[in-house]
Amino acid sequence: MKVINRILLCIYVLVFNPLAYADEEAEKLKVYVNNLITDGYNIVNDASLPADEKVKRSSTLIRANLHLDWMAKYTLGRHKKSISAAKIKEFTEVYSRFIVQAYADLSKNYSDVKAVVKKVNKVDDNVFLVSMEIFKKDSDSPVAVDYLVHKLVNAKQNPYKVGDIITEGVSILNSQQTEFDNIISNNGIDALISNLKEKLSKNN
Amino acid sequence: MSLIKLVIESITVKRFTKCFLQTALILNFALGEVLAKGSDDSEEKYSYNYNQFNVKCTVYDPYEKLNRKIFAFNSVVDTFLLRPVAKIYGRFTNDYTKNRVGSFVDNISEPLSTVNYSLQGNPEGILKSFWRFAINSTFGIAGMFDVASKFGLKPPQQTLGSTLAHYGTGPGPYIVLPFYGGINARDASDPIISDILLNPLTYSLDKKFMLTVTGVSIVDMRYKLMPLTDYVSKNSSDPYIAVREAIFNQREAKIVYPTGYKCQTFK
Repeated sequence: MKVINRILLCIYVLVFNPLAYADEEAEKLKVYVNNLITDGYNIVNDASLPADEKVKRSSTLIRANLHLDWMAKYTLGRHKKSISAAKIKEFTEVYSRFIVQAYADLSKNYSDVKAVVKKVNKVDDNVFLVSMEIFKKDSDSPVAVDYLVHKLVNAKQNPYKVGDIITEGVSILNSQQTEFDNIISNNGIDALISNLKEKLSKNN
Repeated sequence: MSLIKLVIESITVKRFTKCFLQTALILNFALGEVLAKGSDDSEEKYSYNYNQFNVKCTVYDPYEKLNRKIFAFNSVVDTFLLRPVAKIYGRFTNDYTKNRVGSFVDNISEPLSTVNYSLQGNPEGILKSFWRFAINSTFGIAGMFDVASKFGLKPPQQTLGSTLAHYGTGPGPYIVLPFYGGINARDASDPIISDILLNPLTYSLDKKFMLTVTGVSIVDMRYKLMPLTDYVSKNSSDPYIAVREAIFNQREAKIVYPTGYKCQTFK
């Protein structure tokens, strides 16, 4: 009997502990996403903050939590291989400023919202999809929003970064990739960089 | 040979379990490490396509040149007609009223879902959508309050396009209709013909009332899309593509294809 107990213990340790790890990871991700949304909510709804300060703080939060380098490279899609490293660096810098500004601007529409994290799916090694429902004030119908979250192995502090935001099935990143593909194919990477710079200065 | 025999004899059950436990712990630690560390940060590991991940199709746009022209025309109509009306609607109604209007409009189209669930042979969908309509129309005061959702009665809304997809019809080419906007070929009959003809309420309610409801639903929908369209016009490098991707992917997210369905790929 003792022997069987030991064997069962071994099997348990071998098989179930990694699953417990996966559950633990899912919990950590839920906490991370909840904290991120709460931080954003607090900034947008802080009546004591002037509009400029709200945008500034939102931008800092967004910059700290988006996986900007990866996003920039992803949006270049098939063109990434044919573009020089220096141009990719330049594009990444402009894209990062552009996306932070666009998201900070977009976040102004989301005061009075409540987010409920529904589930966490593992997409790949260290890549997760956190699904949630966003409820607007007085509304019965929630909006389905997914965050694609990367876990960075070598991160010193916060290991999680959001790689994509998918609203009702619409991935911002995939849409941008298609848009950029069109511009690069027709006019080249320089045209895309100037286009983004133009938008940055116009929206400032 | 005798050495092997000796070794076999010397392995008692206790030793075996101890050895197994140690191996298990080492393997578990190793597995934990693999799970914890996984891969490096290489972008290939992170490459993904949200649609493919969810077994959805990707857009096919063979009429892009013509579509772009109609899109430009629709944008002018939107700028000078629909957007200002939606803005006025947004300014003069509070969130509470807007949400009641949204629920009311949704409820009017619920019988269309019941009919399509019937065409799909989905008894659960039929019952859920029927009771959703019945409960919201009575306890929800003509559908202004979504009471049924609180009882878990919230089946996804269905159209003839959803039914066709249920039987394995792909989205087909993306087309832009004048005044209406972008839609895929499979769903093209929905807004103009099937949503009206297949909804039993069309035959029981006054035509003027149904027209008013359609008008209100268009304005309400336009208002709801305001943050997205503003975002696109401000930040998009190519608004046509941004809108096309948004319309197409949002629709695909709601579609359920039969098991084992593979999307046709076009070049």
